Amino acid sequence: MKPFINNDQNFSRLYRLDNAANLYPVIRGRKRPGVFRVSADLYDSIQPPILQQALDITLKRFPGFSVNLRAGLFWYYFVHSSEQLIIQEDVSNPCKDISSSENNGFLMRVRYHKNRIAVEFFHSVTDGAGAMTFLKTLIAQYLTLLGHQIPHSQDILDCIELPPPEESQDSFRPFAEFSAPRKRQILRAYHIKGSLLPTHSLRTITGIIPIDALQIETRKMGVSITEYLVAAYLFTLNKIQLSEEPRRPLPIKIQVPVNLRHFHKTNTLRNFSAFVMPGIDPAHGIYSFDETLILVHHFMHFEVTEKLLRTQVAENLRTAMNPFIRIMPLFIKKHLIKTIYKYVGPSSFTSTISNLGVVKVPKIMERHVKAFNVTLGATRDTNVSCGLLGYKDNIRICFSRVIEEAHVEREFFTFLVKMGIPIAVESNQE
Amino acid sequence: MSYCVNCGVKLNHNVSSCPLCGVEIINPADPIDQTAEKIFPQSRDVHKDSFDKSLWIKMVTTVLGLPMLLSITINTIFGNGLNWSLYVTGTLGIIWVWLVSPFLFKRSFMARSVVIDAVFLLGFLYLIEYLSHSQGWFFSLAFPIIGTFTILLLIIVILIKRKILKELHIVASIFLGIGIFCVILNGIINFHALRMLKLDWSLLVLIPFTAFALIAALLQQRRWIVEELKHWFHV
Ligand SMILES: [Zn+2]
Repeated sequence: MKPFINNDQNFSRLYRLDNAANLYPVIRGRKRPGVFRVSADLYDSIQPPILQQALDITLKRFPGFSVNLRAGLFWYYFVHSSEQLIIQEDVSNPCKDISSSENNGFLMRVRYHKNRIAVEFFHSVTDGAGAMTFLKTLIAQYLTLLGHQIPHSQDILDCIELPPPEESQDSFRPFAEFSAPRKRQILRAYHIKGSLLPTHSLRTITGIIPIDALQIETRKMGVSITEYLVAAYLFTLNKIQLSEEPRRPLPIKIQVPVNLRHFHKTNTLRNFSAFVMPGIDPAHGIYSFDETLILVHHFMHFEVTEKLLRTQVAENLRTAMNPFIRIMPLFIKKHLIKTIYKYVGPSSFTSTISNLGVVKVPKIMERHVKAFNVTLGATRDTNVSCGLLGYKDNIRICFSRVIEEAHVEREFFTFLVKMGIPIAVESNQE
Repeated sequence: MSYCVNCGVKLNHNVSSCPLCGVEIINPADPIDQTAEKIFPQSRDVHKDSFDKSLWIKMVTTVLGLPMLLSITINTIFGNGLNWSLYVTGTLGIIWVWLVSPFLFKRSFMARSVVIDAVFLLGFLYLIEYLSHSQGWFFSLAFPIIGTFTILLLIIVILIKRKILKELHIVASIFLGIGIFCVILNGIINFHALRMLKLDWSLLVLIPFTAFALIAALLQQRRWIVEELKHWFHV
């Protein structure tokens, strides 16, 4: 679908929300912010005025990000905003709900603290890959203003260049394959229990693992890092469930987002991901870790394939393309989607692991950036979420939670320690 | 660097307890450096309400409630039944509704409070008409005038709220609103007094105010509205 963009810069520009983006405004709220964050630790302290200057330049290159959300008669839509996005001091509770009254109506925040730059996004705007491109370009621009020469490679966009329209294109439609209907099986999954923290609280624990130590294990088993960590997570979650001695144990399922850019060439900066849900069902008996790992390995090989992902995207699009749903006024549609979401959404999975992959930056930039990190905003739907990425020699696994107890993180990290993988741990609750 | 004896994970040297299990970290070889810089900031992002609604409601209620009670008490003790105190209480009640209604709702309160204010004002005026036995003016004057005013105000408020009206368009709409209101006001008064639909003075208001509105609207480009409607109606 062609983006519906006005030529005149002074007029409000409209972007239709893509299929994934349409869901977030409907289900968002203080308890379900739909916000995630990517951040980078530099070696030197951040100079706020320079960062602001870099942001002003960078945001012009990302017109699809400088938007406000509006409710239309039938759908939500974005309008371009030419206001300035002001950088903020970082806080101890990241990924808080971005309310429309703050921030000049922007659906993102840029924050800094000592040597850290963090960018938080409302998920309608973009996904992890788009956010990382923005963060890397922002840092490159920041370093450029400080007098360093940063090449425009490894996804770093040239801020002088005009933004090509493809970058704000909805790539879901060209990717979708409608010929084969595919029904997703919806079963109630196990949910992590705990005592809820007050609203707007988010606790994070980040585990830092040397890539080579983990690779010794994964090579031994012939699996990928994602598969290994998903299996470890499933295994520990099942252990936690069984320790609660349920009368009838429920399946453990983990939502794993898949970046569709690996399967379909596009330089879109908007949402372009689907997800798969590996899981184990304790009804079949007790799974050992090796069994879990083999299961996840084969599941991923079967599910994460272009053909199945294309039909999955089509399945998601079908609802939004239904003529009755299209002409249904937004306020009715909202209630309908909320109700459906309650049944097929988070109740069907236990938690989320999002792997942003290995972050690569130009050699010269590596000298300035110590670490990258990703934080998913956990919600009361699943209580705990997990985001991870690799950079240089380390993998950073960031767990976020809205409950008091850190038993999930503890089980997970101690399991890896038992497997002989050294871990260093950081928390925002020091 | 210290390790948690329970979990076996490495910890930063400035943490006093393990974030995973909560056990206290004691390492005589590497005592905790309290002055060391924290990795995470300490300040929280709190949801700020710049205005304390409940305090405002309590304050208004006390300030207006006291004279209400007082007048009712005096009236019942020294007068024969409730009469004049009903006017005082009604007036204070209307003021209370006006001051409090904008803060009753979390969002889009303006439109709803305009309606609530109008409904209460109408109720109050009807009460006055009923108590003073001066029949006739409520339905032919007060109701249509307040009704028109409320509807016009409501339209403008909603359009501003939805950001359909912006900048100079707000100015234009207010000018136009005043013009239209004067015409209708003129019609209502003449119909009440002369029993015929006739406009006189209001045209002198309408013409210049419409001109002002047009000037303001022309200053903003006209295509804007077309664009906005196109966006809003996209299916
Ligand atoms: Zn511990």
